[in-house]
Amino acid sequence: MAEIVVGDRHIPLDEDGFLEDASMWDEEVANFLAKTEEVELTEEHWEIIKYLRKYFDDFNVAPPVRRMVKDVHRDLQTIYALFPSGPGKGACKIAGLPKPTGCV
Amino acid sequence: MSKVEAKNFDLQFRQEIADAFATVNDTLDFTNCLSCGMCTAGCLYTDILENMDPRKFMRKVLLGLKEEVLNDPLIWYCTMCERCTMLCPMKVDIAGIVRTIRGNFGLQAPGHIQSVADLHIETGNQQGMTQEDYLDTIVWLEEELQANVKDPNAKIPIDKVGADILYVINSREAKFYPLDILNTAKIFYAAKANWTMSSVGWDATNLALFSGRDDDSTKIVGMVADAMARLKCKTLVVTECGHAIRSQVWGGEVWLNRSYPVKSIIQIVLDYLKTGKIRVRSDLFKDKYTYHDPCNLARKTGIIEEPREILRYLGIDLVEMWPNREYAICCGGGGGALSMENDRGLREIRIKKGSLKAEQMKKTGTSKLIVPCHNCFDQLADISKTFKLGIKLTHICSLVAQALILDQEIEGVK
Repeated sequence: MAEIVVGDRHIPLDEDGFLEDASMWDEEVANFLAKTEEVELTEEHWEIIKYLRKYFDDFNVAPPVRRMVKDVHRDLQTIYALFPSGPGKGACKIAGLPKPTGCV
Repeated sequence: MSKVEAKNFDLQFRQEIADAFATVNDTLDFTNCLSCGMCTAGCLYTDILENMDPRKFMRKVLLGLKEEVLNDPLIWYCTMCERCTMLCPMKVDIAGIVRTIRGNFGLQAPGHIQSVADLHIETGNQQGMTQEDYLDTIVWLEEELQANVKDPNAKIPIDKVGADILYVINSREAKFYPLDILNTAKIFYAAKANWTMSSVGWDATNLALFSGRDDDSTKIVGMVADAMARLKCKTLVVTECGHAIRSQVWGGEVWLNRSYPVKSIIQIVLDYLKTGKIRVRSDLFKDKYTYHDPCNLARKTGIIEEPREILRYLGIDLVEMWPNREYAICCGGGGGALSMENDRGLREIRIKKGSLKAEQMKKTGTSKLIVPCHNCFDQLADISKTFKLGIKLTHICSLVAQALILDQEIEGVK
């Protein structure tokens, strides 16, 4: 199993690079995860990451893209530009959300 | 090699399987097995996996070695691709036996197959999207469509009674990949199609196809059948998703004795091209592409030449993998493998199976792959990453939508 080493912490990732344990997420971890997605995090990224974490805390599930686009006041093109692997696999991964289940 | 003891033969076992067998054929057809081994010759995984031998498996089934069968790793290794059955002289439906055993003998499906099927039954879609989020997504995509085609009257109809087409999707499109819906909507718009989506019963997927639970399958496909009845549409059209088309075409027949025709969006798009309802540019895609035949689409549903014909309209220079068409090798992610996670080491098995596809793709020398199936798409993307193939994947409708020549654009030229 893959892992990332952040400071003195060994953080296990699942086979798709998502955090095995969502509680191990913090901003430093997000920066490492962003590197695996070849994303340099800016203020705009952080705004979306914080939104995703809040949504996940509230509903225990990732938001649909539509909701995300509406809530963060961005269009789809902007989201894809910020997270090239897309809202589900890119943005949610960096935000430390678990990999969505089902055919995704 | 373990000893086969006659005292362990359970002579009722074949009848138990037959009694539970969901099939359009005779439920005892599998007893016609000649033991010839064509299945094992046809199953390419037998060369790379231990404990993967359809012929041995069939002997255990027919001798009534029930415990051995129920514990056979093949039950979850098998991608139900039906290459064995295609080559079998007696057409023994081994994938059907696998499915029957998965769902009717108390086995626990690995990974999240069952929880996703449960969620689908509970919420009406396998992503568990609320009605509000789904409808809001469609309304938003309609606005995106209007902007895209520069026509404020462009529509994504919902619940239009009596439409020619009820279009059903994979719910992941609504939740995570809305551009897939937008692409198809643009094609329907260009064709001036009389189509609709449904507010309820809109997810064509069905993970119970892989759990083998026919009670769940019937409920899940029943939601789409109910939408067809409520909206009185003529044809059910299914998105680019292999197991969804299989569930609606074959499943609709075995579980619900369906009375309406089912088509893949691929067949509809080809019909639009042939009849001149849509026109596409043929000079847009200069690169060489290769094409993956999803088992559910090609071998099982017979949709083999249609995608290739569409690609010719698009002027795409296709480099075929070998073997291809009905002889194509499964991506390795079929039979629910992508939903099994790494339960019982099944992820490693899935990637190992995918190594055959990686070799095939490498040999084409192309880095662009067309895949008309969401499940194959994910597996092939995984393979590309794992084996560092650097392949870019795309669905057919995405290419067609990009290449569409809209009426308003033609008028602009005049």
